[in-house]
Amino acid sequence: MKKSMMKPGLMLTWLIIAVILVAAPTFVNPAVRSFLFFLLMWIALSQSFNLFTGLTGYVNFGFVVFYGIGGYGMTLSLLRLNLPIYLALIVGGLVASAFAVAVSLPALRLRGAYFAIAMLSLAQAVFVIFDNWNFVNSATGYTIPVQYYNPTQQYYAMLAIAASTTISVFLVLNSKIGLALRAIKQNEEAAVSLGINSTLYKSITLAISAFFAGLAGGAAIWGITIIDPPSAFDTSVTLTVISMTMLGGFGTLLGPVIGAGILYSVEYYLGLTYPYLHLIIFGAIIIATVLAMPQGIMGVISNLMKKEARQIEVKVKE
Amino acid sequence: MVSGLLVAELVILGLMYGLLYGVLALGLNIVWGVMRVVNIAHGDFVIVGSYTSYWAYILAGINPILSLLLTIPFGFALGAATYFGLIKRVQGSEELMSLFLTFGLSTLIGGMLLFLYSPTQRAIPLLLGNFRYSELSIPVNILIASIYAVIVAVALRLFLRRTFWGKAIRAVIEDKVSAMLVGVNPSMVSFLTFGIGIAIACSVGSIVMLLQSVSPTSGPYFTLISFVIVVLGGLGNPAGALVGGIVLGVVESVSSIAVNAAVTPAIGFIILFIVLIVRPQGIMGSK
Repeated sequence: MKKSMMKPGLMLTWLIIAVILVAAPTFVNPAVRSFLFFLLMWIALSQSFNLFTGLTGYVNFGFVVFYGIGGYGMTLSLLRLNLPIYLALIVGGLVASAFAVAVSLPALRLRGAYFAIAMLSLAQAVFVIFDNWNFVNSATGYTIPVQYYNPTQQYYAMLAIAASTTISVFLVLNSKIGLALRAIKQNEEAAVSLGINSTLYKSITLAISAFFAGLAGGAAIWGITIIDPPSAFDTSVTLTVISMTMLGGFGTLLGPVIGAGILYSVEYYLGLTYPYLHLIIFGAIIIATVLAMPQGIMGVISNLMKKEARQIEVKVKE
Repeated sequence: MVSGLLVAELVILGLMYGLLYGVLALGLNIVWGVMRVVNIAHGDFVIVGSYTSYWAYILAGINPILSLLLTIPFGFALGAATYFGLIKRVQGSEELMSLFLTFGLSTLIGGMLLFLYSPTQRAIPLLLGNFRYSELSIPVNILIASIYAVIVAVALRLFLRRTFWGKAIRAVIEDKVSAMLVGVNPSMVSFLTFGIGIAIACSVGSIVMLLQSVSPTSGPYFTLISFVIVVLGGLGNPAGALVGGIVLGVVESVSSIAVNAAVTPAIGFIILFIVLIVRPQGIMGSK
């Protein structure tokens, strides 16, 4: 993965994609730009989910909490503290990250299913608390004033967030943290016995993951302009990122991008005509992926490439 | 000032609700014990049971208590199909896979119910009056629910203690490898356990229709309730599930005096979060 990223052909492809995405707002109509905005949001969210769950093997069923808290952090610092919008976005990310650290101290002592359930219940509890908490305007929520509305800036903000999330996954995968996480994922007891501070590495990773989820949540609310507890803590956000990451391939760099691209396109067209069909399809996709290709599309591709390489090797020997 | 009578009534109501919660969690608990699979779709099977009873009542006028005769075998068949079609294939692979698989199943069931029946809340208009004992007054619906819970708990206990397959299930929960060594077929045990677990979930769904309205999206709530109880009582400990259920039922019921009813669902989850951190093996569990 590391070396193939640097091949000239692939670099050129990356460059072309980057140029198209940067230039897009100048030549596409508003509907396409809005489509791209949400596509980038799902890439950023799937990537930040992948950063933690894909690399550690710990299932974060409460992922949406970081998205929602980022959204609220952004909104409150914009409306209450009158911060400029970009600073407000970063504050949202930092608040989500700080919350992740606070939660991780107790929660990351739990393993496997216990952690998954704790996070699931955390998401429910945070939703109910926000829904009844006057400090955050309880169930009514907030509307972002119209003077902040700027679709082009929103698009570039989301593009920057999606790109930096993907780059962070690349950096973490190829860092000392990534190495430690791989050891933890394969056998946590053995990793700990070799002196790896597993709780520390997991906490750091969760904090990074939450930071980007919070950023993306803030940018999303900036674009959607409305925030209230049911939408900010909607379990279907968690569902969607799981489906996207699962389909593309957990723990890979490109998996979440591919998964988000395919599934958001599917959801976009189905959502216009059939209201609940995407739930059925996403559920079926998760089940089918687990049963048929647990490593996702990226796993299938890398298996094919290995097979090809082996065939070439055989031919060379002959 | 809160009257003693009100508190007494709330404690009794909480106890009765708690028994039903406990039985629901029993289904999740034995599945975990035997297969080490946390079934995220557990609550969605409850809703499948509720909808079966709802339509039996609306279309044919069948009382939810009678439609138990329908939902129990239906639930068992559904559980068996789910086991052979899905769960069996991920047994033995990483825990992550079974979590994702049952999460996908939960979404699929919820989505199908929404697609077929819309998100409307459904209820069976069937009130059976109040049961009075001196000054106490308890709705008969809740009384029936708790009696059903006790029957299931006793039946399950007898099954696990007295019958061959019940003993085999307990043997697998205790030590899978040794159970296999003495000739217990783990696949057969898993199939039975999953069938029983889902039959319990579906039948609780029928009984729930006596107590409240449900919608296709209520499933995850029941899953979480079951988790709270299973963790309170200790994973893999059937008696613990009933104790956990009663604890949760009474705490939820009595706390409604002190806090806004809207916050009540959060109480269970906050308890869960605290218990997981302070005592992850559960109140009654041992490590």
